[in-house]
Amino acid sequence: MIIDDIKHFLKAQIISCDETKKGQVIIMVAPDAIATAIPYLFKDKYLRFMTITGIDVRQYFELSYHFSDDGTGTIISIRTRLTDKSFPRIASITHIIIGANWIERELHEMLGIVFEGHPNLKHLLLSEDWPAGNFPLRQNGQSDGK
Amino acid sequence: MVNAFTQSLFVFHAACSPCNNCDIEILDMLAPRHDVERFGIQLVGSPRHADVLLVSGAVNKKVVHRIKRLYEQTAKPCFVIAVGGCACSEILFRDSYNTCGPLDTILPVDMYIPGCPPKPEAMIAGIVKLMEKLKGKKK
Amino acid sequence: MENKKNSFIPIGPYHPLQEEPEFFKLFVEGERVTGIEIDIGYNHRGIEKLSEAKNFEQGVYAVERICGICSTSHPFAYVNAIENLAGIEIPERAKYIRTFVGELERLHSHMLWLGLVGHFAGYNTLWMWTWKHREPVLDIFERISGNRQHYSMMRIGGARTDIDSNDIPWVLQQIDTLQSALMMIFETLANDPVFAARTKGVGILTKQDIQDYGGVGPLARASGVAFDVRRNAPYAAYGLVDFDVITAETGDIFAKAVVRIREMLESIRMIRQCMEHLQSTAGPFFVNVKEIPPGEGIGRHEAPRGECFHYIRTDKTNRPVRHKIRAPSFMNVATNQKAVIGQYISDALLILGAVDPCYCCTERMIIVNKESPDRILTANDLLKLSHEKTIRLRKEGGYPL
Repeated sequence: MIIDDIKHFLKAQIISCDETKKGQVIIMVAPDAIATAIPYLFKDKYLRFMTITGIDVRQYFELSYHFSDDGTGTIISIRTRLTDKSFPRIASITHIIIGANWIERELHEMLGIVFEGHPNLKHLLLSEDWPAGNFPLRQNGQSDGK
Repeated sequence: MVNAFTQSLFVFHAACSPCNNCDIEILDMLAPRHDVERFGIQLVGSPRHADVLLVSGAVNKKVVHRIKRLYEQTAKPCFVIAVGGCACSEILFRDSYNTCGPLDTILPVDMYIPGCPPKPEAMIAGIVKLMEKLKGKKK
Repeated sequence: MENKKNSFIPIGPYHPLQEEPEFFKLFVEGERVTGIEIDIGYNHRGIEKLSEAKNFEQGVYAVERICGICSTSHPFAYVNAIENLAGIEIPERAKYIRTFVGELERLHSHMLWLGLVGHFAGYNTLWMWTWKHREPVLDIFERISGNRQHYSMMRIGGARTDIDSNDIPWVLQQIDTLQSALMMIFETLANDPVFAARTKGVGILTKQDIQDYGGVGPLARASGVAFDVRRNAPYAAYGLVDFDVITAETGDIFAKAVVRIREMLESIRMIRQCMEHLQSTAGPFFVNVKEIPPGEGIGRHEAPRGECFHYIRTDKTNRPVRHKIRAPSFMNVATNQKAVIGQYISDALLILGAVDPCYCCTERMIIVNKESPDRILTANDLLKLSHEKTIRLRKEGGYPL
């Protein structure tokens, strides 16, 4: 039901929608659609924000915004791909969801993704003198930093 | 001088990125079942009062400067005890990008209490052994 | 704004879960807290990256080392994720064993929290009593798994070891003793007007705050958000045993305490049902899992502190390509930015502790090396302030000290 509403709202912005997995619906959108999809899910549908997962898949970065539909126990993942690996960037959602502040900072330091419009995009977990350009969770980075 | 260390030890507990398991067991030593205060062993709130530093956890890059500073602040002589597998040898965290090597590469460690986590009995046994060794030194 | 922040109180830095040892900096004006800065990362050990180098069997033990207090929660969510990914159905006996271990852990974690709240509020007797009665729970763990902490009871496809039916009467006996001790403690607490005065109306989080920050677990349920993974997305035997989801409305510390206390009693109920089932029925307690197919899976577990979330993606190898972990405290600790503002300093420690961030670390040293503030209070001074307030309230109310 919620899925149908989301499909209806986003319409052509949806690239694909995978409902085959048990307990999870994956909706693939373009990076620009995040700015419209997230407020809809969070503010209009009252879905609970869980977290953002960032993956380095060699050709591109993949971000999944996980929301939980607490009534049915389904996880709705809005997924997008950042193809520009030299300068990955996407609009921040911190002004919509306060709870996304830390996870965006974490993704910034771990994968080097720039969240545009984030109020305080500095190190969260790593020390301040961590070498710039060394992103631990990137597949090709020097991961041990030693 | 050494005599002071054979009666009641003031222990400062410093955790360096632990999983908290050793720390809970250290606190458990104070709880009624083990109650180390019977032996005069007491946790203190400041390293300046400490005779012994109990260090747990795999030291990470954000903590390493602080633990060194903490050791500098203690009144010497001060004994350092590495509690748990992480502090002794880093166990599975040795491959991590954010750890700085086992504790004995950072501070002079006097005693190792291995285990994941060591039981409170093991910790008490360790501290008592330390006391006995110090008594032996006096003779 | 800058000149108003005339003093700050550092609290921290360390605290246990995977990525969340915190360094709180409280900005105060007079006795009121005007701001808070949370600095985390003192505990970051890069488990997500390490897990990518471990095979699935090793991964269960690796994620166990994230947190010592929730040391079955992360493996639980991890095996849930892999079973979700590979479509593995585990035997019924394994489901009950998992539920039993999960609830036993909730019991020991909540008792630990209750003791620490007692310590923060100046009730050291409460601390000693709850920790004394927590020991039998650890004894049960030692007997069934071989270790007091890090019990490693999970494996992909079931449980690592079976529960010996000879142990079950002994476990039930321990649980009975525990329940009567808990009831005694709860009645004392509920009838203590000073404890109520310290905790009621303090550190309130509204339903809206919980939604904004994404808070989970007892913290959210104390503010009236009735979400519980065990009920809303049942796994293991949580769909098979009978239990209630505890909620409260007021969102203050008292409500958080009430929710956790009543959850302990629910846990005891569930443990009894699990024991009964394990006693009366036999069967395999694991299935052999040979290969993990490529794909992705999400595993969730209602840890003592809230929803624990694991996301795993695999290719054809025997190791995950990406393993994302979101511990409940990652969301919950951020709510402090809201709860502590405008409160008294003497209550701050209680509020920060009420989130249950495994906060046994407050007694430890703080290191101040920033600009020179007018006043620096150590964590011990903070504890003293809190104790003094309790004593003052007791005197005012005419209660014995």
